[in-house]
Amino acid sequence: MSQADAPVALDIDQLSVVFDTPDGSLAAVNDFSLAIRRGECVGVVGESGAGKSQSFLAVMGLLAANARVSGQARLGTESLIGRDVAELNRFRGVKLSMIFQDPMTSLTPHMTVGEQIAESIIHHLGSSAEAARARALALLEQVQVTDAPRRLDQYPHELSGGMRQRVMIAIALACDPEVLIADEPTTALDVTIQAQILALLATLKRERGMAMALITHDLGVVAGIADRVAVMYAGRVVELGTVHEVLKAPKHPYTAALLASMPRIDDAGTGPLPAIGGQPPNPRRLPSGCAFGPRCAYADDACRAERPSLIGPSSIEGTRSVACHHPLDGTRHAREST
Amino acid sequence: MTEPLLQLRDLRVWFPVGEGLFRAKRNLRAVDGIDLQVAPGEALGIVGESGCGKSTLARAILRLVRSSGGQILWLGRPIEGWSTARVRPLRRDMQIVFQDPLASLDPRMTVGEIVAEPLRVHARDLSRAERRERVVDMLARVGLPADVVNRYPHEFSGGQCQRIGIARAMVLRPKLLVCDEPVSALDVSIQAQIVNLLQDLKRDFGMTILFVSHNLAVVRRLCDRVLVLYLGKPMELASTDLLYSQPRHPYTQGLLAAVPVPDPDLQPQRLGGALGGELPSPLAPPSGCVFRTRCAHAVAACAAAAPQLQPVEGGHEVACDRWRDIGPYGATP
Amino acid sequence: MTDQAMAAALPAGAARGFWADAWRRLRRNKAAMVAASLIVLIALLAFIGPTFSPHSFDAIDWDNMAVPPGGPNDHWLGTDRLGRDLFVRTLAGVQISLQIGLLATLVSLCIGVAFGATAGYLGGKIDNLMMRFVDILYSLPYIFIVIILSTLFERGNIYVLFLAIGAVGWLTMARIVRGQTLSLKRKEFIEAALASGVGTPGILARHIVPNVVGPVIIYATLTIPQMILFESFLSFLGLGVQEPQASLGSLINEGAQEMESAVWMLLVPAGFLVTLLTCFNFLGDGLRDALDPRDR
Repeated sequence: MSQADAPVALDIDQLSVVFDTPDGSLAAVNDFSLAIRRGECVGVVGESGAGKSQSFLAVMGLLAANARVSGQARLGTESLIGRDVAELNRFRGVKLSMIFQDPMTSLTPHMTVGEQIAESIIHHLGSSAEAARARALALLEQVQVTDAPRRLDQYPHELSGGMRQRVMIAIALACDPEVLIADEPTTALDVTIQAQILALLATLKRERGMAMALITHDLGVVAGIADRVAVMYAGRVVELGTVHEVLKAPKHPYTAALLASMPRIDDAGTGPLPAIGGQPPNPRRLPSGCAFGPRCAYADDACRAERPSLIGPSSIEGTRSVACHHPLDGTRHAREST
Repeated sequence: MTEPLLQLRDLRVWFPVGEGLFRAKRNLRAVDGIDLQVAPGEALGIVGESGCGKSTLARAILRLVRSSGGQILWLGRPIEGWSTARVRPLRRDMQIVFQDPLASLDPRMTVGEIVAEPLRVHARDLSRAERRERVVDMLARVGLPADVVNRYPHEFSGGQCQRIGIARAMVLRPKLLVCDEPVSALDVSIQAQIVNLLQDLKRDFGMTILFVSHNLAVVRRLCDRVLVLYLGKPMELASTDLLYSQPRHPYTQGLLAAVPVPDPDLQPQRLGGALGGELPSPLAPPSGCVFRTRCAHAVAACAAAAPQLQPVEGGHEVACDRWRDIGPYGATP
Repeated sequence: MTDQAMAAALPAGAARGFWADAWRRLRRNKAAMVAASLIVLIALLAFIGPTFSPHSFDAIDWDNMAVPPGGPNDHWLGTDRLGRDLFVRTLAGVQISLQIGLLATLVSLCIGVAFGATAGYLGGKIDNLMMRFVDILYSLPYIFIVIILSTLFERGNIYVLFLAIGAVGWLTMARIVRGQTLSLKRKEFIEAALASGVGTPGILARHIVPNVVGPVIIYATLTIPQMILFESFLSFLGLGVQEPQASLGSLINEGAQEMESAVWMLLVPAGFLVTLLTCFNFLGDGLRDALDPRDR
């Protein structure tokens, strides 16, 4: 891995997020630690409620007012947690950018595409209006928007979903960020457009040497562009490793079961899928011990008694960790033995 | 072959748009000339990107939207012009499962009332106890215990809500079950449960399934035949085996190549072959072959005339005049 | 068959319906609960309070004319210029105001919900026609209609008058219900009912109306004080209840004339009116939060 010795761009350490709700507090993220190096893309995978978005919204300081965040996140040497909005805005959109799932609601409807990109450039870099417009055009071309000069003066509703997501990426790139967080950037798009956007993100990562966090529920999306993968379940990272390690030889039964249960386009099988039983746990009523225990084929008394911690080399060194009392040895797959 | 359950002849659904005092009336051709025969007990997948008309087609078959032309034959009888009242008895045999599991359940009704609703309409002679028994049986069949009948939809997870929606659709034992993206809104770990449940139900009740989805991997798992739509027109129709192993239409080939595979050895290369361009506006579709603007194989002749579905082999049909030159694309063994 | 085991993980606890949930949220809202208790208290007082007083609402006490509250007599809140007990008269006024408010709201509710749900659900030309009719009624000057009505009916028959006001006041309710219905109509569960073969009356009665009940209750709660206020306004103009009957409005009218010499004659009924209106508005607000939690 060429990234293995690159400097760490975003270092998240022991991050926890708790929401205070009328029905009591709700732990959305627990002890989330992840270091992303320059030029590296880390896929953060999990189902809804696994805490994958909340972790990065906490890093961005974008959580709702009833959230309590603890732990640390550093962008280079700057600490991000506990900063007020004015301080955060020195980084947000400059060194640290984020793109979201729904490109329609993330764009302002009454401003043209060019104005929205230029706004960020003028605000953060202090460019002149003409310079900002020229840079906006260059950015649109870089994100492969067709007919870019005409698009500058169009409004978001005149663009297709794929084009809007490209515009969002252009805005995110406006100030040459060191870290790009992409939160389900292709979930709302059709497969052919998804493939285009993923190819674009892969190119941008390669050419700009950005650190990238790609949040998704789709292991297939991760396989194409991520270098490493963190699998989350019920607010915790359960497995972390290179994309080859995690997808080819999963150690956590959840990762293995998830991979096995996904119907694949290149699988001609027609029988029943090896589904994971049960439902994702309710964060208010987590089972004792391992949160995946009630759905796990290998769970025993030890799993019900004690929650396994994430064991392995520290995340900074970038290889394998797994939170399981009975990690798979990488050759057998979940469910084969049941 | 037995008599088809359902036949479509040149079915069209056009929506008038931009109607105004000073604007010319235009038609959005959501479904534009579909010919199809569906045999009893068959599982037919209808795939395509959003805006390809697959949901509209399903709703036109169910007479939830009005068709603008062509014929819908249900068990040999044309039903497309029938009044709402005349269609109502047919609804007993054709049911639908929706994409958004929670939104398809009335939030003010209990699960028991929701599942019993089709019985209230179509099986009026059932006593209250018999109705309850049928509801509880069906709920058990989709994997829900009897005590859910007094609960409300918002208490359930997405997968459980989808089971309730399936129970409602299946409680009358319909001949045709239309599934409109039934797993798209569900978590990955729940999708397989619902796919398996639909397979089980099909095996046990033998109903015909129209499975509308953009998820080509799920369609491969569940369906016998697949119809590929693009801008309301049929591109390719084939058995699942042939469509996935030897896709003939360039659009099908691009679509299949775009589906991500959770394998880091294959997926990066697959991204490189992504289909370019975007769906043209359905209000101004390209002349001739509607796919030609995104097609790598398009030639001048493609702009002239719209290709019709033409037979390849063994019931495999493709709407491309150049399919012999392009050849099957075996990206997915 | 592993499905049973798969889906058996059901939420624990008793089934919680929409109303149980709403009630739980409402109970947490202190202002709304205090307002509701005050309304109940005032209503109880209005109907049983007068029996505790030795006076009747139209009896004249020649020895105690225009005495202030707390005097050495049994007129707890004083008397008016004619020596009638203000406590009993005010409570009689509250009775009439509450009845009128409820009656007019009920009438506007029935017409408004039926009209709005039908227009919204049927849509198209029928909706257009029905809503233009509402627009025309809206543009007619409300107060003139009421004045004409009050001269047509025998003076003092305030219930007939307010039946009529309710019949005009349903317009906003119809608009609210129509808007709600339009958005409900596009929901998948309505399509599911259609696909099941449920007819139009069934969809309206079983799916649309139960789902608009929330906003309807909220608006109705906010309509009651409007109607009470409107009655007070008419009575203030002398078009409402006639002597010796009293409503809060007519009492305030009388009190306003004596403001400089006997300010309590204004303050007592005005206090009741303001309290009632405030309480209804707080309750309506609380119901909005309880029944429509998305807006919180």
